[in-house]
Amino acid sequence: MSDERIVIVGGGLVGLFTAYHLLKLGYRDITIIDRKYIGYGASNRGTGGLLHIFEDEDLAKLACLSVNIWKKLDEEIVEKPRPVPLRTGGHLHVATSKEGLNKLDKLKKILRRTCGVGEILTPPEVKEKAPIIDEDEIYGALYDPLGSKVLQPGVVRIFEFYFKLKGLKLMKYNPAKNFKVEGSRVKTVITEHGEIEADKVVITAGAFTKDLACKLDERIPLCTFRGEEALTEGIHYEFEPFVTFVENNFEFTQTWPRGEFIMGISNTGIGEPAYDLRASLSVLEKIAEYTCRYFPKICLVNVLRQWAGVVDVTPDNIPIISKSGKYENLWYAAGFGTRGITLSAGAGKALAEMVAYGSTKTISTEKFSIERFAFE
Amino acid sequence: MSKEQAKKPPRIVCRCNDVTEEEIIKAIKAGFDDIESLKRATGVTTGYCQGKTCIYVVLGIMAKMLNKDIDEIGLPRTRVPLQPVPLGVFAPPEVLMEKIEKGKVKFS
Repeated sequence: MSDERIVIVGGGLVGLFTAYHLLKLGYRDITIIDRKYIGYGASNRGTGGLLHIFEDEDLAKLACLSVNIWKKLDEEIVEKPRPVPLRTGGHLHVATSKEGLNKLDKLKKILRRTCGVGEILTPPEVKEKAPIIDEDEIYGALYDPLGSKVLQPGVVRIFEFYFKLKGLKLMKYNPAKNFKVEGSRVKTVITEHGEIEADKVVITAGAFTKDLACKLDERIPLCTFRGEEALTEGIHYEFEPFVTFVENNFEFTQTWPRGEFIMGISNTGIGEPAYDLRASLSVLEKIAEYTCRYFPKICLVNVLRQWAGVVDVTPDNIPIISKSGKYENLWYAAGFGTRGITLSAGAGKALAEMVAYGSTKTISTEKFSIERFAFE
Repeated sequence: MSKEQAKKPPRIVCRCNDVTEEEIIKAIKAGFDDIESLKRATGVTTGYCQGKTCIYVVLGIMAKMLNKDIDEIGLPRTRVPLQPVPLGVFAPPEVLMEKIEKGKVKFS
């Protein structure tokens, strides 16, 4: 039990998981603030894959741990309005060229070392897992049977319900504006609707983390890029796996229970205005092209809605899960790129341990430290 | 609960996603009291009609429960395309034609 006052700036999945783990460690006085609704930003806009395939081994390890936390969530949260919407349907990382197939071999070794699973499938085997795929277009795929998918709005709803029950304060539509500091401590978070005193502060504000850190005279090297998703009308649910591609950033799966197909493309133009959330026709055309090419049966299904999202990345593509370099009671998590949903659970746990014990106990976070970026 | 109450049929507000009035009221009471959160919590305005059928009923329920003006609540963000369109319409014609010629896209 601890009566320290914790303020979490950013009510996305990382912030929510941090609060969840802090709650488990005995903290009760937790306030989560968000500039919009809880789960705003990239948390609600992705395609919802929980994936283990990473080029970086440490990230793959974190992902493995993270997905395990995700999968235990349903068991751990007893008081909830509905089951945690998570399905383990496997993940297919598909190669559409010979070079892609070579790359899969490398990824398979990493996956085997970190998660102990993973096998290369031939096109007919891929078709068995994903019956609507056009096997003539593909060379093979790396199959991860533990890969899963979640419906983020449902998870956010469960967290909100659970946190309110436990007496946490959730403040939506209340952007953080500035901070009051005293020596090496952050004392107060100044928000649009008043000031919140804090003993410890965690900033998990996605792309906005950079701006907030600026107010504290700290530099976090984050740049942003856009991703766009489209959703079709619902048809009979039968497509379990989550499909990604080696050669492009296309993602494809089916949601449930309505059976809508969800397709996404990330990395559509680095350097575009960072916070532009308008959906674009050119990306929808790209999504339609890939869908028709690889899943021709879906190309006559109606597309209902399309949206865009912004994700934040660091220069080395490794996220930041770290204590502040300047303040003793401040922590950051940002830069998760397009795999934030997967990594949020592990990052939340790591942050909660750092807040509670000063260092992490179950996850090594040295690689994610902010100190690796040296500024003149 | 009396027998009569138990028999009361659900009032469907969102016809595309079968969301009932009761579910909406429950969600608003649970704190999803702005239109963007309510949309994500219940699925209203995200179906085939994209909210054209249900939005004013939803706003009416919200206005009544929260004692707010409908304008104050606002509309959820509009998503393109405004009408459902077959995905293939947006694909490059040569990709679509190739698939049709190979018999992989069937109009039936």
